[in-house]
Amino acid sequence: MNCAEFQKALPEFAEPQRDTALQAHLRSCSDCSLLVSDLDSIVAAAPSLAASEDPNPQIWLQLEAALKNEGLIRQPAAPLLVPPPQEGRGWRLSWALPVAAAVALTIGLLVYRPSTHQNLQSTGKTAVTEPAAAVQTAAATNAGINEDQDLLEVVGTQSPTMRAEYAANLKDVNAYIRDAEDAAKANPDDEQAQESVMNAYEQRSMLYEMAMDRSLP
Amino acid sequence: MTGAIKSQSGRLTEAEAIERAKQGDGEAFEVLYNLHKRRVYSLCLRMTANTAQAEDLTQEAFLQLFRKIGTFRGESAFSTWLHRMAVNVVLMHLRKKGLPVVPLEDTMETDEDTTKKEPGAQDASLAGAVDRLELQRAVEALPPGYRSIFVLHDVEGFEHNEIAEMVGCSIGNSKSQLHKARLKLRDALKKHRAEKAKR
Amino acid sequence: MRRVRRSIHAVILLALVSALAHGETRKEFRYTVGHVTLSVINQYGPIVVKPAPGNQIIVVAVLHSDKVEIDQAQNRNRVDIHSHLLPGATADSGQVDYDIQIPAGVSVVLRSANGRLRAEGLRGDVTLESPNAAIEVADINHSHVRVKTMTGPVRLLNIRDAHVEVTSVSGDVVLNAVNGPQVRVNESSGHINYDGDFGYGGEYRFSSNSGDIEASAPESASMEVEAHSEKGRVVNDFQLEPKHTSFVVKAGSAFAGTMNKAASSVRLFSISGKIHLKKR
Repeated sequence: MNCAEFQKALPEFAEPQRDTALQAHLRSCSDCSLLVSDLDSIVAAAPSLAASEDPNPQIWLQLEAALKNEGLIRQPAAPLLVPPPQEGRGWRLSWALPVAAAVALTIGLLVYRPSTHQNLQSTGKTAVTEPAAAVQTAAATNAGINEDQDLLEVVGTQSPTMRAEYAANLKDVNAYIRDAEDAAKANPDDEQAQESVMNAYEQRSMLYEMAMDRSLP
Repeated sequence: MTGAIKSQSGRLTEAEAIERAKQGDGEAFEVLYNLHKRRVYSLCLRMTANTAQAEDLTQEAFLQLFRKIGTFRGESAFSTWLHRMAVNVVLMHLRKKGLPVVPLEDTMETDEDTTKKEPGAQDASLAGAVDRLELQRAVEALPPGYRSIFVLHDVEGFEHNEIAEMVGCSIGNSKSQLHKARLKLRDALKKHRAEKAKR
Repeated sequence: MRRVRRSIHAVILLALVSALAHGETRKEFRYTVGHVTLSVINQYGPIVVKPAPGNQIIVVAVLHSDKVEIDQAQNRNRVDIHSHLLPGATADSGQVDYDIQIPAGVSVVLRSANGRLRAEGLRGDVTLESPNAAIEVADINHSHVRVKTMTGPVRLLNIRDAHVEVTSVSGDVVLNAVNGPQVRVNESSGHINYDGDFGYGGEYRFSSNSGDIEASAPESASMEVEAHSEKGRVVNDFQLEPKHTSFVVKAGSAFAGTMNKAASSVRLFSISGKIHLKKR
């Protein structure tokens, strides 16, 4: 068997080293041996590309909205991931807080990513106009105060120290959101100022996810 | 050992989530989404090499699955069912866009061209392990048909007979095109390493 | 579906229990794996992950009392380890110290409430998260490195050709000899300190609200840079070729320009923090 015959036969064999005829050629030909070794390296590395990327959190929000629209989600969520605290309101928080975090991030995305926004419109999905986004942002700010209190209550059931730490960091992040929004308004053409709004919302989302143990893949 | 963290730790198992999703429980849907989102999104991203398209297709795949969840009887694993559906959604998308789901036959290039020996070729071999990021870049740069075959077989683990059925080609074609895809990747990886060495 | 090479063959090969200090228990778990993700979630105590030859994950866990247990779950492409606190557990009695060795290609996801997290010499993806703990990642090539923290200090050392994403609210972030196609730090009030070459023709994005940003690079660095602080002082030690920007370049609060072949793109942005681009 020569190199041309070997390489013609190669696609048929998942493991050419195990075929006697191919094996004989492999032992005598360093080029073909190198080729097989390289292809083996590629095949060995390929599975690492599976399940290696996290999707944008926005996908779940859009999917959830679609499931509700189609009536596939028919009832409020039950307590699954967080043990109910004594007051009995944990069931609502376990569902609402991560959603609040995701909504915060979505608002950040809408404010910061006009290109994504246009893309959604062009694909016929639910889209929010600029004034609506502004209204949502203001509403979110008010709602955010209540959500923060809810989050701190949940965290406080674990330890008072942790509650204090989350409170301080939420304060930091909320200040970041305010400052970033001011900077973005004052400098509408400044790409970095616009991006900082998104960064600030991402931090808030991270705090919520971290508190609810939902951030890890 | 179980497939998911035990419900004792406060989380639903996949089987529990499926049953509750059938009753319209929103959080059960979310649990199922979270269990499988990385696998489905990565598949879509690898097949399209485009983030926006991968996001749309991930959403579409889950939506199709959840619409049919009432019919799931557990004859096959849920993940297998979802995975198949995701592949079909992506292939449908590629066909709609007029992109080849199997490689267009090379008219100017033969196997011999691709694997011909060059002076110094031995020095430029991959010499051992291939890193994930460099492979990822090389896969993104593959022509769409080759990318599909490589991702379905080597990344996602489908057999040639399954691929042939899904993409509508012969088993022999699937084998030969996969081989060509690997050769193209080898060339791209070698080229990348040579460029990197020059920097 | 085929996939013999990816399947996980063994469950637990060895579970060794031996008494250590009073009340402490040492457990060792081994998993034979291919390309999988190892996830470790620990309430109290450090997690250290290092590379190992072969195809086994070796988990050595020291449990500080019987107030904590370890839950394990293993499926096709994932191994989950979870410290499980029992009623009455405290930060001391609930502590578990993890020392883990993993083969090449295994991705790790680590979370500890307040124990140190360290990953070094790995080749798979690395995701580390802790509200408060110190986080260290060292000697990593060609991977995705993701770090999330609230207050914990983050130190990344000798990370090459990697996608790096750090999100921190108030912990300081230090990046030493870090480069790659994308290096991103999203900080609120902590400081960002970068010392490296801004290499690999990558995108470097460092932003903060009130935290200072200090970046040191050699004169040979090939980059186009934009730096801008709304209210903080901005200092540049390099001679740059001018370039167009989306903001007004004003001495003391913003600068922009290119150096050498401008292979990498560097963006430093703060709302009220100081920014200093230093010559090394």
